Amino acid sequence: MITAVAVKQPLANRLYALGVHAGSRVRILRRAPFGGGLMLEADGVRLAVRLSLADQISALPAKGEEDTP
Amino acid sequence: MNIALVGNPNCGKSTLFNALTDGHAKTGNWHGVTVGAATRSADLGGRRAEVTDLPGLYSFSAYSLEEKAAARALEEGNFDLAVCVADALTLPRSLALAGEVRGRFPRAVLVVTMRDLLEKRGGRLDERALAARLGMPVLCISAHKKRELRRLKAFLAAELRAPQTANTTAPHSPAATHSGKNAAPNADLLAGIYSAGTRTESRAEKLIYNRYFAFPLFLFALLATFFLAFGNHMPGVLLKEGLEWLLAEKLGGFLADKTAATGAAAAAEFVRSVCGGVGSVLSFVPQIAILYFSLFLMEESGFLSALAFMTDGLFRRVGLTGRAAFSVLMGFGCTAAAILTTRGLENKRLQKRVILILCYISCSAKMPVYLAVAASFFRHPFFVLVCIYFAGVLLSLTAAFVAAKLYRGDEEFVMEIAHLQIPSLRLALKSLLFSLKQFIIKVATVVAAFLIASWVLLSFSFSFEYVGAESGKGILAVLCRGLKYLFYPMGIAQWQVALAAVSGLIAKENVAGMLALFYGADLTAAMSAPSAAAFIFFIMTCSPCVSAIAATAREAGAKCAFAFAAAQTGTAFLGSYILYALLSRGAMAAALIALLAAVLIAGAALRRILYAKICRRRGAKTQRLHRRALPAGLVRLFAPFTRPRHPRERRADAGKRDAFRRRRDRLLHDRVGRGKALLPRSVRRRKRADRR
Repeated sequence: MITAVAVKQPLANRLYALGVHAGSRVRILRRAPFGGGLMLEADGVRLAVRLSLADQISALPAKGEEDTP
Repeated sequence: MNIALVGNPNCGKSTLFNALTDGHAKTGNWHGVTVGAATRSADLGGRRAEVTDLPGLYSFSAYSLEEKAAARALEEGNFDLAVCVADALTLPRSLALAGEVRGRFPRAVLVVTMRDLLEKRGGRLDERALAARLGMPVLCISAHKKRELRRLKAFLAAELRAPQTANTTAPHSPAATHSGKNAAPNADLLAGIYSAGTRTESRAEKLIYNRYFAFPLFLFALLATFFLAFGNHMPGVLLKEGLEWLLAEKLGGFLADKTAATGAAAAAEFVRSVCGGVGSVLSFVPQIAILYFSLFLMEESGFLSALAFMTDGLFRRVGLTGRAAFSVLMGFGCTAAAILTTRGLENKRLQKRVILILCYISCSAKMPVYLAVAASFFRHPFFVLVCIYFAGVLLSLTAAFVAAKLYRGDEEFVMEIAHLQIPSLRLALKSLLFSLKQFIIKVATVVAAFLIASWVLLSFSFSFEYVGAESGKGILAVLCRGLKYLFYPMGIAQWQVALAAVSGLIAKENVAGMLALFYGADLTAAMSAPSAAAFIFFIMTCSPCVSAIAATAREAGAKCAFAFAAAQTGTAFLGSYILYALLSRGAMAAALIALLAAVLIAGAALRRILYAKICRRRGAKTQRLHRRALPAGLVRLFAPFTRPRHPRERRADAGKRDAFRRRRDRLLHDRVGRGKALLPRSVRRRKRADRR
C-alpha cells in the first residue's frame, strides 16, 4: 500500500497513469542485476522503476508483503 | 472521413492500423515503437476512410517526447471519429484515457485488443455493459485473427454510417472520477463486468526475467544469429555465395558477353563491372534477412522490453536509461530508423546522447563492407564479425560515458514492461519481406546510380574519350588522387579505397559496391592485413550515411548533426591511424601494452598500500578521499616556495598584506567614519574634513 509519492510533476503524472499513486497497492516482483531498478506490479501493469525513484515512493507493507524503501 | 487511433503505448494501435489499411507501419512488443503520426486510406466495407496512427500516450498531459507529438497531432487534426484502443489486460488504467478522448471528440469508440490473452488468463469482459456504462460503443477483439478483423471493419463502418448523435453524459463519467485523486478511479466502472483473470508467471517469463539468466540468454541469441548468418557452411553464407555466383558471374557474364558480341567493348566492360558491384551488394540479402528476422523476433516477443529492464543498471552508469536498449538494438538494423525511435526517450538531452552513440552500433548496411574485407584476410569471418559488433557496442558505451559529461543531467527511469507473447509467423514474414524489399530498392536505385556514375567518371578522361578503368587517366582518378593522403597513415596508398570509404557517406552499401567495382572479390591487392583492420575500424566509427545525418538534424538540429558527424569522422581517422601504427609495428604495440599493464597493476597495488595505511587495516576498501581535480596528485601546477624568502620579498609581502588589512579596517572598523563605508548612501556620514 503506497502512502506517498514524492516525485516531481511530469513524472508523478506518468506514475499516476501507470497506477502508482497514494493509496494504490503495489507488489515488488524482482530486482534487476547490475544495480538496476525494481519491477513493480500495480493493477495488472508491470513497470520498471529505477532505485533512485523508488526511494521517493514510500509504502507500508500489507498482509506480509514486502515494501518499497 | 478521418479516423484517429488513440491509446496507451503498446496496446496494438499500429497492428490495427496495418490490418485496416494493409500498411507497413512498424510494430513491436515494447512501449514507444511508433514515434510519428502516419495516415493511410482504408476500405471499411465499401466506405473509404483515412486512418491515422498516432504514437501511444498515457494522458494528455504528456511526459516523453513522442507523447507530446501525439497530443499535439490530436489537437491540431480534424478527426471525425476517434478510436480509443485499449489493451484488455490493463483495461482499468486505460479507461481514464478513454474518458478523456470521449470528452474531446464528438464521436469516439473503444476497441479493446488482446482478447485472446485475456481469455487465456481466464478473464472476461462484458462489452455491452461497458458500452452502456461508458456511453460509447465498445468492441473486444484479438487483432491477429482475420475473422475478428472483419468484425472490427464492420463495427467501424457501422459507426461511421450512424447519424452523428450528441454526446450524452454517461451514468459514470470517467473524466470526473479521474480528476479527483481517489484510490481506485475506475474500479466501480468495471465492477461486475470485467475480470483480469489470474496472473501467474509462466516458466518462460520466470526464465527471461531471471537476473542471472537473462543476460547470457541475450548474448546467446545474438551469437546464434551471427553464427547462422556468418559462420562457414551455415545457411547465410551458403545462400550468399549462391546468389553472388548467380548475379555477378552468371547474369553479369551473360549480359557482358551479349553486349561484347554486338561489338561494343566499353559497353561490355560497363555491364560487367556494374553487375559485379550491384550483385555483390545484393548477394548480402540472405544474411541481412537473418539479422532482421532475429531482431523482429526479439521485438515482437517482448524480450526487448525485458532487456531494457535488465540493462538499466548498466546504462545508468553511462548516463542513459534502459530505454536506450531499444534504440541500440534497432541500430543493428538501420541507424536512421533507430534515431527516430529516440523520440520515445524522456528528454532532448538524453536523446542527443543516444543519437551520438548510435553511429557506433554497426548497422546492417555496414555488414557487407565488413564481410567483404574480412573474407579477403581471415579464414573465419564469423569471429571477426562478432569482434566487430561487440567492439562497436563497447565503443558506444564509452561514447555515452563521454557524452554524459557533455550534456549533463540526471535521469529518472520509469517504463512499462510488455507482456510476453509468441510472435505471429505471418506478420514476421510480412515485415521481413517488406524490409528486404526496401533494401533491394535502395541497392537498385541509389547504389546502382552511384556505381554507374562513378564508372562513367572513372573510364572517361576529361576530353570524354574512353580510357578504361585501369588506366588512371579517368576524371575520377585525377580528381580523387589527393584523397589518398588522408588514408596514408592507415597504410592505404590507393585512392580507390579512399574513394570507396568516402562514398559511404551517401550509403554504406556503396563502400562494398565500390570495392567490388575496383578490385572484385579479393582485396589483398588493395591493402595489407593491418590496414584492413584500420579500414574496418574507420568504417565502424566514421559518421553515418546521409539519411542518418538528416534524421539527426530533424531530431536534434542541423548544428548538432554536423558537429556529431565531424566529431565522429575525426575520431575515426585518429583511431584508425593509431590502430594501424600499433598493428603494423607489432613489437612496439606489445611493449606499449605490457608497459601500460605494468603501470596499471603497480598503481592498483600502491593504492591498496596507501589505503591500508590510512584505514590502519589491511584489505581496506579503496575509496576516493578527495575530490578529483585536474592534477589528481600526479602533476603539481605550481611549485611551492622551497627557499626562504628574501627580506626584500618579505617586506613586499607584508606591504601587500598590510594594504589589504588597512583597506578592510577602513571599510568596517574606522573609528571616525564608524565603519559606515558599507552602509547605503542614505545614512548620513561626516564630512571628510571633520575626521581629524
